[in-house]
Amino acid sequence: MENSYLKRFKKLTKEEITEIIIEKNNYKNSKAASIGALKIIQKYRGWISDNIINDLAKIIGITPTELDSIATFYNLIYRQPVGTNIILLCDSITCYINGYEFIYKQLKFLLGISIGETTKDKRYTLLPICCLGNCDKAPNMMINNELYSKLIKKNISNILEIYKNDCK
Amino acid sequence: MTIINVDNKDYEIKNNRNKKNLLEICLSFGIDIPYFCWHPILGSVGSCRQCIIKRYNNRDDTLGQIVIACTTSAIKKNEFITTKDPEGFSCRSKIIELMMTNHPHDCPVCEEGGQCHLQDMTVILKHNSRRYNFNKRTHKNQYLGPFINHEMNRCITCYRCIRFYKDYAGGKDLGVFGSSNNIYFGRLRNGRLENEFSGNLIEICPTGVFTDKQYSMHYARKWDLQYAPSICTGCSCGCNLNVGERYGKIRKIENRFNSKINHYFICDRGRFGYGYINSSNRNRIPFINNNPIKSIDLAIDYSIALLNTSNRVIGIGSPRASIESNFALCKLVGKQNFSNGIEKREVECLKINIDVLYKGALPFSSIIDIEDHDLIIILGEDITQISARIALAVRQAAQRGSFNIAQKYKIYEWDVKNINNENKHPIYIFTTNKTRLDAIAYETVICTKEEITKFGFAIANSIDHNSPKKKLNSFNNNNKKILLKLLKKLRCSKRPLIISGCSLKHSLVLKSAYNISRAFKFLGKKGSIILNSNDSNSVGVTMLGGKSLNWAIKKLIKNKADAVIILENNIYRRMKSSLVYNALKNKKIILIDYKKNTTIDKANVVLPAATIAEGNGTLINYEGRAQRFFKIYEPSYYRTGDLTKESWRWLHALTIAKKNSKLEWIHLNDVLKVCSKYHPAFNRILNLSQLKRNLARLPHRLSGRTAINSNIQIHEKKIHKDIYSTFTFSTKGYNSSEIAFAWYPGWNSPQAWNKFQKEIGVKLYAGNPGIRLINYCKKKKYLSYYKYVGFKKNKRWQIIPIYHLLGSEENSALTHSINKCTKKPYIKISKQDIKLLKVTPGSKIKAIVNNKEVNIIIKNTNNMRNGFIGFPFGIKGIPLEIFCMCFKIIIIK
Repeated sequence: MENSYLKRFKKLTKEEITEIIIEKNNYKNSKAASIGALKIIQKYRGWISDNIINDLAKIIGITPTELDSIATFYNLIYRQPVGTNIILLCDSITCYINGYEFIYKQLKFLLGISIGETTKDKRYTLLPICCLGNCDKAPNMMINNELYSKLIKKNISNILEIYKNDCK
Repeated sequence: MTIINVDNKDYEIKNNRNKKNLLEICLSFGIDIPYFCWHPILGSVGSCRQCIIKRYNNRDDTLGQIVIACTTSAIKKNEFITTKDPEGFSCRSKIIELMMTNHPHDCPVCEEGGQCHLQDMTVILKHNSRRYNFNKRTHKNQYLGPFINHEMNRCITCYRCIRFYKDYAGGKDLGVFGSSNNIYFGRLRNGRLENEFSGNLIEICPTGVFTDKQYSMHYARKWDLQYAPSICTGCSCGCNLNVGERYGKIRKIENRFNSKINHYFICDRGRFGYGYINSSNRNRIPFINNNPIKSIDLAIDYSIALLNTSNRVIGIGSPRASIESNFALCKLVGKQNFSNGIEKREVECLKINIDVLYKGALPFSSIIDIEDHDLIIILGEDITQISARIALAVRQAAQRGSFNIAQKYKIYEWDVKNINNENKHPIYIFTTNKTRLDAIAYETVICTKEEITKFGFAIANSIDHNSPKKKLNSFNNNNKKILLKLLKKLRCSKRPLIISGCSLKHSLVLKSAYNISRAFKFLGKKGSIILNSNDSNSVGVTMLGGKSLNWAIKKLIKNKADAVIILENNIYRRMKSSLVYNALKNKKIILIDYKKNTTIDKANVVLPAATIAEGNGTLINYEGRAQRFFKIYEPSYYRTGDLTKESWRWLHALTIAKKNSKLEWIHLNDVLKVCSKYHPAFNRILNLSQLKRNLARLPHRLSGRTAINSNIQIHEKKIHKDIYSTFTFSTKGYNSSEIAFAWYPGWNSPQAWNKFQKEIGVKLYAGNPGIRLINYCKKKKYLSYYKYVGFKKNKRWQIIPIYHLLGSEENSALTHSINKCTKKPYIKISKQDIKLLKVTPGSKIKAIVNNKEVNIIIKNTNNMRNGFIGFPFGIKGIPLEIFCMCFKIIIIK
């Protein structure tokens, strides 16, 4: 099956196809594998491009429209190119009261981008998130998979420093 | 019995407790509750939060509880609710204010204005000034094809479009993208919405996101249009329409509610295929030997002279013309000279149709009734492309599989309508070509005509061994398995439905369908049958009697008759053109038609006939349901000298001129009174049309009637008096079962249908306008089984007609926008045949038919059988003779 898929969908790599097939087999209804498959592609490529949507939809067995509906619904599936490091800044109520605005201003100052944008060197993308489930230690933000709590303005530059050399 | 107390007034509801939600119930009492996302057919999702009401525990409860009316049902025997509570009102009006934050202020230029549900609701909730001072979100619009305009900024995200298009109609190419405040309803890329029911988005959308593109080409506000109830002539379903006209042009077609046929939805062919009525290619005045004549008398006198000098006159009727017109022709030429204008093979099919209607073992199912069946067998009919409305109902029948599960767990129907689950009622399709319904079918078997009938006979035989042969043994293993499974399901099913039709033009297919139904009756269970016909009045004209078109052509060729009257029929589309050419050579021809067709050059007299827009008449649909269409406008009111008249009026004029008698037929009923003497079945139509006088054609809010002719004369032109029908050309009048337009004070949008319904989405106050002429009678002796007759031996190639909703029907195909969507000439052959012939898909071939060359592109499909050549039926560039004579194909390399 992998080989036939490889021939049909030249835009996808072998690893991606293998993982998607495994994901698909987990469910009775292949439609259920949509989100999993999108996450697999995102793991390898960082974001989901328009070209991929068509091929992926064929593998899963739904129309590209349906797959794109799913892809665009979730804010952590990226339909636009993103930077190497993704900063998710919580803007929900607890973080907001506890100093979200100062953190945002500082990030804006240090990176030169506002919410939803990517730095010119493609190193950072700044995105809002509605809750990180860590409200008792607000304000929070998450970079890649690491959570930073009880943020204060001063620390931001140090945190960003950690990821400075992380780029493709 | 449940008593519901709404705003301190008691209302009683009967057995439908637990089935309806409070919103539906309140609307049926005539209480206005605003709503957006709820729709009588699509059910509730509770996303718009507009229908907030307050519900109390008992009479003494003063606090109450805020609930969403569309997701709450009447549980207790005594319900206390209020819609006028200030808390509820403020909640609703704040929600509409939020909804309106992003809605543009473009009502004056919006085509929905004046028929907008959002406008109505904001008025009900008195939201009249905006407090939101920020930028609105904006979207780019898409090109959605020639039928529908897209204006995303107006969206209030009620999700109705998706719920209709995806969940109800099974469309795949409209999606919803994004989330929260940034939602986009559209396609992945620009392009035509492919579903056959895309036009309904116009009425489904509560605001102006999807608007009618064709209507916008000649736009007039809803209140300025003149309406009359009409019937769709696109196929044999007989969907009810409201047709709007202004300045002598049809502006738009709306759905008219009929709880037995189309309820809220019609197909794109019916909604957009009215271009032929407005066409410049119409006959507006009589022609004598191709010279325009401006006088009726002259045309009649000349025609009479022609008829009087001929020995025998043959009348060729039409399955598209009304009963009255066909009967008038029959009366003029005599029954022995009347042909129904349908080809022989089709007449054979239609005769079976009529026989089954009268004496069939199972009753015919109306379209909405289809939805209640739990197993459907379709024999050889591509219903999506021929009678799309039937296919939509079949889709619902399949989806109702999930309703049973919901019922088991006591979940209400309106709550599960949006669930698109895998649990479907089985649908078996035996077809010659892949169909759109395959996606929801339990099994699709692609086979030849012969095999379809064999399947039919075998199913009947295995249920009842008395039915004619065709044992299961004659099938290969795969087909046998399918059949055995089908039989198992058939035995379990409570109410199966068998659908077949005339499209393959083979009577044995219909016979096999009848045999299944007869065998099923043998089991003593309920069930229904549908035998579909091709044209809007096929059943009606067959009921009148008359011989086939082949007979008429034969008589003419043999010179047994020297004159012919052709009624609204393009016989070149029905027979080989060489035969028709020979038949009409040197004959006296009187043509009564509304458009200029191939026969017109040879006609001695051409009389301008009225279409459904300019005349009154009765059409009979596939199940024998007679329905009236009414004149929408008087052509001579706008175009002086326009002599368009209903065909039966012309024919009656000829009859009385010939006999030198008095004018007898003035009203439509006068024709039918005479008609029912000969055909008692039509007697019932007379009851149908005993409507009281004075029904309004114009909406009460009409503006500027005095201005219609002001560029010519400042005096208001005298209103044309319609003495022929129950409708007047004025705003004065009331509504009855024949509703000309859906409008009610405060309800300008098509949602106004609520106000005409006794039970919302189910029943009209005055009942449905049509009447079924032939009732299924249980006591009668049923028709016995049909016998199996062998087929002729197969040749190497079999020609299969492929029908298209847009393009296969003659009249609607003349519409400009439908023309844009029509497929270019192509043929379909299987993959293996493509290899065998050493061609590639996409390459061109030439077909030589009747010495004419036709260029065609090859398409391949996986779903085609080897040895089949599929030709699109009725499409421009493919002569219809391909289906009835030998032709040569040359492969261009």
